[in-house]
Amino acid sequence: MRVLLAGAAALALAASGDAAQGNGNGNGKGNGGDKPAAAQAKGNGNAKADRGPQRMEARGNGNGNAKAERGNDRRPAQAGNANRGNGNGNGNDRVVERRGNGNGNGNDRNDVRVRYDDRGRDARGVNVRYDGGGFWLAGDRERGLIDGCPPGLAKKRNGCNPPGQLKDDYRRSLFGVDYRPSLFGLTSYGRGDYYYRDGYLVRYGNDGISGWIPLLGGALGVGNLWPVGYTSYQVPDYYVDYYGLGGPDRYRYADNVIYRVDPEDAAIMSIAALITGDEFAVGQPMPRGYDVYNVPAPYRDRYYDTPDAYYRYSDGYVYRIDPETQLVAAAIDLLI
Amino acid sequence: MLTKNKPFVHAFAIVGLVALSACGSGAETDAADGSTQIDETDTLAAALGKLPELSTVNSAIVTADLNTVFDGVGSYTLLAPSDEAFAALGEAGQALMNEEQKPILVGVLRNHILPGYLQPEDIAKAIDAKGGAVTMTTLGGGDVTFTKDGETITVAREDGASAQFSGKAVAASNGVVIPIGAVLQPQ
Repeated sequence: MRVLLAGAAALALAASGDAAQGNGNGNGKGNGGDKPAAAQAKGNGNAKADRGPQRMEARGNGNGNAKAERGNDRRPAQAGNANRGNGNGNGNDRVVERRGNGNGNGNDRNDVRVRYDDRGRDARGVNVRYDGGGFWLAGDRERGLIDGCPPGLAKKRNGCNPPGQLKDDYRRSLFGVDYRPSLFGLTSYGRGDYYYRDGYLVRYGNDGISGWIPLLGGALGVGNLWPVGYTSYQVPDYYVDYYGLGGPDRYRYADNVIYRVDPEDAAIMSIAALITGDEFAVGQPMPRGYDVYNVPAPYRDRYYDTPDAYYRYSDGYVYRIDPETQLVAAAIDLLI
Repeated sequence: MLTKNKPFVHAFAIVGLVALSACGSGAETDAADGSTQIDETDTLAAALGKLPELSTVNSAIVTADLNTVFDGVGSYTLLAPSDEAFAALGEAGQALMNEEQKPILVGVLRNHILPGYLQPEDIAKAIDAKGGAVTMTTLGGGDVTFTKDGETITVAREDGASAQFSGKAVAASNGVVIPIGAVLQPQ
């Protein structure tokens, strides 16, 4: 994920939502049980999480996640939620182009209205000035390693040993290159000496492992409990709808991955989506890395490149781009 | 599955007859030789599973638990290394499939996934329009560049790993599979 827009007014985040608050306290309580990787976080309060239970429930996701459909919200907030500030961003006006009543092609229909706001209430169809920031993305970018030894390794004998007792296997991948966050699709962490241990990327201090990152496919594998201390950000309501995520206790978002979790114990049930995290803000330059037309199949008849408008897809939105200036002209949501 | 996926269902309703005609009777349609095969009745995950020459990457996707992503609403393009490409990795390729290496496998795969729906024709068109290399960012966060020599398209990572497009691409309902002749392994 690249940060191209200072201030991170998240753009697309018509709904940036609840995340814009981010005042959770992240209290965790260990509850490892028999499941691998980390204990469960319990009972952290995030007042902004109670934006009404499951109003998106009916959407479903069709991925066979039966667990996702049962029960009501039993936990009002996500685990380890955000103590990184309040996320007030620049508040760029977001121009959302609504489908279904025109050809969507450069006809100045740009309303300053959003169908999903960032206040945690259902404001679809209401004219709302977008004044939130892309807190969930901004917060995600500012991640650091989690202090200490990961819970999964702490349980093991010598699991947190200092570097002097480490095998070289922990330092270099099977491709012969040193372990580094980018090998795992992680873009928010700095450089340094990293080691790979049992599903975690770790760094060492004088007394052993001093910091860790859980890895998708490892500690963040399906069946594992969400690691205590690994901050999850609530995503904008639009994404809850688009990806059919259900309530905030049914998913986790971190490091550009959205997970479906069991609402009872926060066990990871499946990977819902990989996202770019790229920020498109109306009036701002299009992020780099979108040189090729990539609009999804169902929308190609409607949104195709012309001399007057380019269209690019990213994370559930189609964006109209001015070919000359390369500025984002409109964000088009893909829900009705 | 996608048939339960409202956004796509609604989308078909919106585009109306045009989209319906594109789907035809639901049968697969083959475009001209060399062009992308359209198979909008399958999700990306299902389409990938039907391609025998890509069985290794399909297994890798399943092993990495990414198949649910390719069965979902998000649209992605997979640069899919052929079975031969994985075999060429030798022991490293075999080790990559081990449970303990799954995070690395996921990382490698993410660098082969692009956001959205890109047919090779789109990439070629973009190269022609720009008069040179074009860049896309992968879901692993790194960039890949595409170049074209005659009719052959090559994809390259920033660290120099590269592969040529090999074989017919398949466009599913929520993404595209583009076979490539090498694994874009980290250098």
